[in-house]
Amino acid sequence: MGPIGLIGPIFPMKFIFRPSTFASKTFACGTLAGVGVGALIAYSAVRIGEVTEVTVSTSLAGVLAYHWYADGAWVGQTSGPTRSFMVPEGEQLRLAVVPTADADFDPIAGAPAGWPGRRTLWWVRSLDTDVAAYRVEQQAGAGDWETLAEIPQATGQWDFSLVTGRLDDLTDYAWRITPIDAAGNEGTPITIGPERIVRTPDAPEFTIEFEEESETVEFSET
Amino acid sequence: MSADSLRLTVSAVEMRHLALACTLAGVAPLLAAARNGPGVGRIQSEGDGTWLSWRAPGSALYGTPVHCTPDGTFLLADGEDVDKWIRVDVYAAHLLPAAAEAQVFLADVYNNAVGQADLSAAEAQAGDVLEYELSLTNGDATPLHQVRVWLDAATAGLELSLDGVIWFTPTSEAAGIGWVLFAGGATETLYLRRTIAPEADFNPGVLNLIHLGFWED
Repeated sequence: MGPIGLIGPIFPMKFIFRPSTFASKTFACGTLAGVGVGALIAYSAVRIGEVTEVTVSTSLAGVLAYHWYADGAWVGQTSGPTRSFMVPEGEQLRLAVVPTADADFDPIAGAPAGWPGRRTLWWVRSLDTDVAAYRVEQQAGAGDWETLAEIPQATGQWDFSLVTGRLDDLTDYAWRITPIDAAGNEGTPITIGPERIVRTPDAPEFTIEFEEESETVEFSET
Repeated sequence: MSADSLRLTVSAVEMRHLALACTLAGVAPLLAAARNGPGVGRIQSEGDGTWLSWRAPGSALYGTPVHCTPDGTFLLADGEDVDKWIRVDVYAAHLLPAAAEAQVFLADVYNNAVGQADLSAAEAQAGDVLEYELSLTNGDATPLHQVRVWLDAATAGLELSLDGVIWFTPTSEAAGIGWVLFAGGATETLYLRRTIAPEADFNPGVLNLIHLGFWED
């Protein structure tokens, strides 16, 4: 048994990030660049555990769509200015937001310039009826395969996707998706890659400082 | 005979120019013509769900619906430009039994078969010359005529050759190199050379675009 199709798409990127190990609070960091269609004028982020909720505001008026890019990968659109992201402790996220009043805006063709540090893995389900889940694994360089997730099979769902964690620049990555049955038997995996991660512009070098009194995080590019 | 008759392969693997994601239930996208370009296309089903059609990114028109049953591989073409096609496998039992539509996301592919490992700054300073051997295969039994290959005018440093000895830099179909007659099932070799000039600027975003043209009986 095996998935019947699988391709890893690549979506472009731009700027702003968020910090790592600190427990919540609203904070402001860096400068927010307006990207593309509409200008952003402010943003805030609130962290609760591994979930960070980001809210932006824009000079645009009317019915808007907000297109969100996490480390260059387009991760979806919202009709409101708020979206939540999973950011595990110790990780960072470069976030770009394109607000637009254009209902026909193409988020791929109109993506901010640059190359992503993440990959969206996408595959079509196995046709075998005994598949219980899909194990998604990642290999960096010549290292061991590490499990990213086990995604349960869902009746009636034709395709699945998973956005990887942040990937290191100039490192070769490969991914494989293996269907498994309820007893843990593995089917035939499908592999994506290997692919070397190259991004432009180069990721910024920055320092992070945490001020205990105000419980804010300051970012400064070096 | 179809728009994807002429297939570009490297080491027997068909080259993929665009990454794909998302689809309709029962439809597994296999390959999208590079001419689609990156963006969001749409695939739709009509009638009892077995009539499928394709709309390329930026296009306003769906192509002529194709009756995709029984299971098999089908080519769906855009309504404005039939050379913007998508090849799909269809599993009819899983198609939705009614009209439906889904977005299909297309993104450029870098580092594919005619990509290369990154160069260090020192290597880029020194310059580099890389050669690739590609295969062109006529996937149909019907011969193709006036097969022409040319380069994108916006991409510098590329050359094409039919023998790996004499190199050309055609940037239009009229100037393209190729074959007057390309027999059904035949495979020919095409050579691509990329020259990175010494002290060239760092640029990982170069797409080695190769254009192909042919006509059919």
